[in-house]
Amino acid sequence: MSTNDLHQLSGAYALNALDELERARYEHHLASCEPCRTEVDSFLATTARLGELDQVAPSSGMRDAVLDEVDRTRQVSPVERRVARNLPRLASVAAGVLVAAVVGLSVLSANLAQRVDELQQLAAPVNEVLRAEDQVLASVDVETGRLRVLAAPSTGQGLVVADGLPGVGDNSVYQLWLIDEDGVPTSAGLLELDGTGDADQVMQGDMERVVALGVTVEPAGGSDQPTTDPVAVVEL
Amino acid sequence: MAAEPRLRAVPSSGDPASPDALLIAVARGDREAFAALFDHVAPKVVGVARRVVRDPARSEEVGQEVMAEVWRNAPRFDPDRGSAMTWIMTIAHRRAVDCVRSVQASRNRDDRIGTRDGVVRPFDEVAEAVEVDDEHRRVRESLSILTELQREVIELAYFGGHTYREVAELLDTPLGTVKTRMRDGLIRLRDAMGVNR
Repeated sequence: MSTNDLHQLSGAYALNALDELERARYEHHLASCEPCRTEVDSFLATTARLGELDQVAPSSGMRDAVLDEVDRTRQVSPVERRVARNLPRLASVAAGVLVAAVVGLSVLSANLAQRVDELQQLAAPVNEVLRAEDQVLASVDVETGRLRVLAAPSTGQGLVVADGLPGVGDNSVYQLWLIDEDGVPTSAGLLELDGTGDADQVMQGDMERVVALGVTVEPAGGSDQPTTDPVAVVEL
Repeated sequence: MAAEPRLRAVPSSGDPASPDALLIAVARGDREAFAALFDHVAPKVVGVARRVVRDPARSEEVGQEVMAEVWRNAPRFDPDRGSAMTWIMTIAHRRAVDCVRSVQASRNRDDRIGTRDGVVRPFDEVAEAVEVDDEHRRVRESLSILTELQREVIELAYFGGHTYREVAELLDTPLGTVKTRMRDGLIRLRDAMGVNR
């Protein structure tokens, strides 16, 4: 999905008309797109007015239950509200390979913190990653597209969001590799792109010693070990 | 805030009983302020939940979850990004939509759409609307300035809890058109309401 398409999703997002993964993906986009943040805030103020049209008196039982729950419930601590307006520019490291700067928890908290506690009913792995304390968000530009990874090593899971990656034909696939500190790659599965080169998927594996995510082009079905140089490396 | 708040109910932050002032007090752990905030906003929270979820008992459950979440997350309310009412209604609507989708997740997609008919109840049908004031009337009127398609996509999504893909199927309209109508419809509504953010 191109950036231009993402801008167009502001309305659907404010109406809660995106599915879970689209929502997560759009929230990534919001972190680096101030115009969209501004627009979404204005839309939420608008939809809130629509929501206020209907009023239904709560039962006294509900009031008592809520106040009782509040008595037993601790509040969250305030998070830093600083907003990361832009992800760092990515530097070219070698021909065809761009390595992302680690963005880390600060952006994540700015990016999603306000929403994370609201995100309910997400697919379990997505939810776990979004709630983990040790999230790492990294991004790398790949030719026509972009690859973003939101990993939470403590959960052994990460979310991989690809936008507009170039096609590799029917006989090849993109394969994900978790690279540990000794440089040893372990397959984290294939990247399943849709027709426009987009993918949203959950990646699983032991990430305690992982320092990077690599992407290679492999023969259809994937390989046990990388057989080509990576087209992208995302440092975590 | 809007430069020209044509339609704003003027939530003066200086008013200690305004939702904004109450929520800021709640953020400091003030339980009395929370009780006052509850009385002020719970009818709207349950109202939007009822509209989306429909089932009265479930709507109250959603309302209860929302109000507990308001308490828990109040320290993270950021007045720079919008009003307390917007913050609370945003949580309420998302919870309501999540509830609808989780309830229906196991059902067949087509069956789901068929069962629900994609019908959004007209506003007049809500029997328990307890308050119809000028603000309310003006919000309704602002919907009438939308084109038919803009109004339909917004109502199906917001009041019906449908994803934009479902809306596209229900209206037999291309996805791109639905996305665009949602956005330009909200722009038009926002400007009609005098909302600046």
